[in-house]
Amino acid sequence: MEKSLSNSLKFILTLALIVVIGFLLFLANKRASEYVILILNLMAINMIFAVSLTLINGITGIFSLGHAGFIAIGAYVSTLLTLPVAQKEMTFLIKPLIYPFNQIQMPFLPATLIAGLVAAGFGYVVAAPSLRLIGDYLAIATLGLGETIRIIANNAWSITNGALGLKAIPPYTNIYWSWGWAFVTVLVIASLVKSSYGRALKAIREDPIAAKAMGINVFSHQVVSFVLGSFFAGVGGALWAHLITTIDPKSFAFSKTFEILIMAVLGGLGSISGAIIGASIYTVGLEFLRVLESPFKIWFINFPGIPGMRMVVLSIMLIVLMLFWQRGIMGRDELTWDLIYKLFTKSARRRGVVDE
Amino acid sequence: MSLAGFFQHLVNALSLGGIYALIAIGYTMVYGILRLINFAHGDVFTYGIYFAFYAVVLFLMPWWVAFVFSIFATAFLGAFIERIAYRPLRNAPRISALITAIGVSFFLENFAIVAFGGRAKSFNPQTGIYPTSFLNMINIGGVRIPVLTFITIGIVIAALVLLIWIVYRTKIGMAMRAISKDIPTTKLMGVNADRVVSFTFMLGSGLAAIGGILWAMKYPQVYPYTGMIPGLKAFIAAVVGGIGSIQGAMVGGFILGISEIMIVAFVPSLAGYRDAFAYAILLFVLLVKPTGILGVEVSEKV
Amino acid sequence: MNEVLRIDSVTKRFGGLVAVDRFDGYVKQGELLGLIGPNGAGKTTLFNVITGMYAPDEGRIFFFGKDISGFKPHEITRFGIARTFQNIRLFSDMSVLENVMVSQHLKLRNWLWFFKCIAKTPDSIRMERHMREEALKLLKRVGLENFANEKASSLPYGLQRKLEIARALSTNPRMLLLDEPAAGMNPQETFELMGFIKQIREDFKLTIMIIEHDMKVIMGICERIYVMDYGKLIAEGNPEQIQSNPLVIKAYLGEEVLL
Repeated sequence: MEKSLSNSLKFILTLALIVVIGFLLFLANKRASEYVILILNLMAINMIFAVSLTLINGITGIFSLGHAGFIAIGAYVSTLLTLPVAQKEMTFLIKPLIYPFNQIQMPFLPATLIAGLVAAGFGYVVAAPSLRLIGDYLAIATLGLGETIRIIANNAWSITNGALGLKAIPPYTNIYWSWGWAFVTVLVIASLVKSSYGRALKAIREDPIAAKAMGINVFSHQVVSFVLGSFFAGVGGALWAHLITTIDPKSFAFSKTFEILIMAVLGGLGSISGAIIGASIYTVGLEFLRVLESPFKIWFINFPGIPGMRMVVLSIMLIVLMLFWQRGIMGRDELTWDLIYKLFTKSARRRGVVDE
Repeated sequence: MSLAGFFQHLVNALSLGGIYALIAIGYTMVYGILRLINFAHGDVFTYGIYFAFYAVVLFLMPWWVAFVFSIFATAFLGAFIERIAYRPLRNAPRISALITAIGVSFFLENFAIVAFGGRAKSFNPQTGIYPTSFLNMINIGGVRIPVLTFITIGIVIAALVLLIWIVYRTKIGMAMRAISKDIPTTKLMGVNADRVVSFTFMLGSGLAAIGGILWAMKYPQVYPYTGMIPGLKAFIAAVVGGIGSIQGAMVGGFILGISEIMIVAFVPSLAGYRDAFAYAILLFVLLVKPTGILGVEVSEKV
Repeated sequence: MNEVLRIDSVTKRFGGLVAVDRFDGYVKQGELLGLIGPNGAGKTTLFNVITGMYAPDEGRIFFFGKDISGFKPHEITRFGIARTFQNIRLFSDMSVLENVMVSQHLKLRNWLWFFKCIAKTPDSIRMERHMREEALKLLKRVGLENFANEKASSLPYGLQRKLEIARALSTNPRMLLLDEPAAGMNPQETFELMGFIKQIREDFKLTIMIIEHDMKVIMGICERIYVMDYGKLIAEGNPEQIQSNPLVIKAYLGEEVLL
């Protein structure tokens, strides 16, 4: 019989971890520089994106490439709801904003929720036709849907202000909102994955035909997974818009989906803890890679910064990851206390042998 | 709309559709053999344009030498990508290969930004890239159409005929068709599968370079993301026509080119949505006939 | 005796090929029915039509008197028909226990459970515990309890076949369709399998239909046998009758042997 930790101990450890993280964030919010706080916010939002993408792509096995589209919906809907009426009049110069958006303004929380719900509703509408396709066809169809949302955003001047985008979005997103929502996202999705529904979704990923034969309604489960993933993508989009305070259709190009895919793949496609780790490493790593684009000096020669170098390195990283380390950090495993305990005792045992 | 106006749009539509068809063939051949969506194909198309551009501007080649050089250089680029990034993953899950292809696409785009600069380079006769005479107008029944449009259509037809000849009348073409049915069995027949796959990538990339040069003459500039939209549309064309089928890619390319030009011509207010038409057509076709117009139904064995 | 399944003139075509050609048949309560025939005779296709993987082009299928033709696979499983697959289709990246627990999922009949599972309400936790216990019971029953936490793909071949049967039993079926359960087994394993199939029929009060190429299995355990060739039912009877039926011998061995 393998040694493992008792459930109550695991619960206490988890609680302690959450308290510690919460306290660190509290400290950061008080003391850290604006730059660090920005990165922390981005990290949480990226976690929301990566975890919701993992639910759809990694757990359920729907290879969707339309995540940026749902993020865009969340960002636009929430912004249209929170932007002050006067600001809207100043922004929408080419064509006035349509009713009722031109008259309402609401607090951040309901706006975020509505943004998530609209994204989820859109996910529901597009899921039905897309999920009739399988594999690569689905990937292309969802890619097309994501791009179509962007093209619509570019042209529907009376809703999105077209290519000019929306500016002066109230900077509501702070550590508490972003990490609070990240916490909710992880909690809901992890709780789902750890339930009978999670097993059903994984079964669909492994073999849809066998899953059907075991009494699982494959289609409706895929739709639910897609809708839930879209909801959190929409919420994340709302948080993101209120962090960077200007959005335009270009912000939601396919490269956004690509970034999230890197996070999920780095962490291990199919693992929620992997997605969290991947998003964290990506967010921080991207900042470190800024060095590549800043001017540098070798001996006495000054080199100017090379714009675009970060993305070159990132794409090479993704290719190398796929060629040599497809599993990513976590593979499809979850980082549980049991796993940590096992790793710890194993390395301790190994050390013990060396000591002798 | 007058008949003359319609004729003008039709010729435009054919030249655009032809370019889409040239790119779409690259997608469809690779998919037919490896079941891989080569996301990087649109960027290979961009590099074809850059190669031609630098051959003229930097290496001062005459334009026609530069174009031939570009076709071969791009062909080798395509084969090189396959060798480095796709071949090691041939037995890996399909999703890994797909993600790698997306990675290659982003690499090519961003490398172009770093190496060639993010700003658009103009691709017009003033830089000596092709003769000014291409822009002369021919007057047909009161419609003035540039020579270039006819050259485009002519080259597209020649390239398509050459391709059909290679695929259906040569030994390597037979090997390509065999491999698309069953790689292991074809290998047992003594065919060097790797070489055939390399050749397929070269063929597809060479056609993309031709399409790229024609595209760049039509919309006279090149920048790192030039290939993205035509690449996506050509991919859609391949899917619409039935991915895996060369004839399907041609049909799909022309359907997309013609419908795009005609919708904008008849309903100008929708011009901003021109890039979304392709997706609308894609979704429609996929829902009506998921395997595309000329695709073959493959149902999974239970 | 009660009739469990009635197949009423079922036809299934693939393009020009008639895979199942006006097949008529029935299965009685508690019966162990064999379905044999040369490769490509349409046996698996018939299974696929019964379980809803394909809709029949013509004809109807009744399960306990209810017309089930045209229903989706998951609905038919919920009616009480479970199956295994010719080419093993386990959820290979999941544990042995999880494989069996997946089949317990159909107990969550409405989507209220979805929210309960996310909120981890007491009844959802009870349900989860119940599913685990049921699955463990089944694993113990088939002798796989020591492998519960192993990955399904890591099991040896014979055990994978057993796991597939356990997984099918976990849907709580009234009828079980086994598609070549002895394929790839050695004689010893095959012998054990025969006893095992008979035993689960008693224990779970099952009606079983079995496709198998190993005639020892078919002749050893089946009470009645259907023989298919080119999609058609060509013979029916008990093992002795089938073994001496000239049509069957012809289908298997070809014309010359008869002459």
